[in-house]
Amino acid sequence: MQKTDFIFKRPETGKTEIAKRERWRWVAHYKNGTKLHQFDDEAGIFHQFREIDQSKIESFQMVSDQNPEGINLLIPPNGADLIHFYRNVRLAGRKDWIKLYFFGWKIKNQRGRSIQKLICIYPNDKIALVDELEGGGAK
Amino acid sequence: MAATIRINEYNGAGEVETVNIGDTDMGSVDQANLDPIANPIVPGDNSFEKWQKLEVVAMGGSSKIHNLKVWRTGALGGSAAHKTNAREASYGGAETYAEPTDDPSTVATQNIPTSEPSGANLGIGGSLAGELTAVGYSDYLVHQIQTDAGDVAGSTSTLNCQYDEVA
Repeated sequence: MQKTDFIFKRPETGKTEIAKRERWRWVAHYKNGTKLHQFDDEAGIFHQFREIDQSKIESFQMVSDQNPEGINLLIPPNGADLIHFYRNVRLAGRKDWIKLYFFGWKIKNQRGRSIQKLICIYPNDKIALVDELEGGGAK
Repeated sequence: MAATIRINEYNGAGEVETVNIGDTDMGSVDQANLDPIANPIVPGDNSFEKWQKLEVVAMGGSSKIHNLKVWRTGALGGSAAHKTNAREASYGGAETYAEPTDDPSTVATQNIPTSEPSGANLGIGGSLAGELTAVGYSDYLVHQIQTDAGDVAGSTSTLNCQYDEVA
């Protein structure tokens, strides 16, 4: 039986929280061959995105039960920062939130301008490349 | 689920809280989850203001909630306007609660955008760049429909909202 609840100990408070398994989950692949799973099934632990050591990362993967091969994002070698967040939308007339999964990278160009490239996974598992200004909002 | 978020509404002089509202129907009464058919806005009048907040009930392992956006869709009809305090420029900070009124709002003074704004337009802690890293509330979202005597009945303005969550 697949775990649905994962333990997270918040470093700021020392308190334990329950994180529910997400439909799409990240896996960080390091250059030394090890991996960090957002939801560690063996240990039953949830890892926050900020726990990833981005200086050692080789690639970043999003997987789901229906897509175990997932989507693999090769990290550009020139020092780009990884991005991962959920965008939650409550459309008119609905009481539930629709969740979109965003991941990608950002980097400053030679002029110091932040360039951000994102991939969005929709509720029907379709994906789209999204150009977005830093802080949100489509270009 | 990661963080658990709900939308609450506040009514009356006593700032009575109704948690996790089912809709934000506007009407001629200061009431959460009101029936707009029983409490219609007469053309030329205004709806009662809505005073609402997003509440983070549990973080569920996530590290922050931010980038709050609200916008409307639908055809208002006639010259009716749906006004709000939410805005991307010249944001007025966190509003202090006042009993909702059907007089022209002095807080909701700018038209709600009709498509997703490019950046946050509702703040946290008085700032559009604010973020919640623990349970807590957004700033008040205040909005009101203002109609004209020539407006037709039955037009709609529907509210959408959105936030980003870093897990």
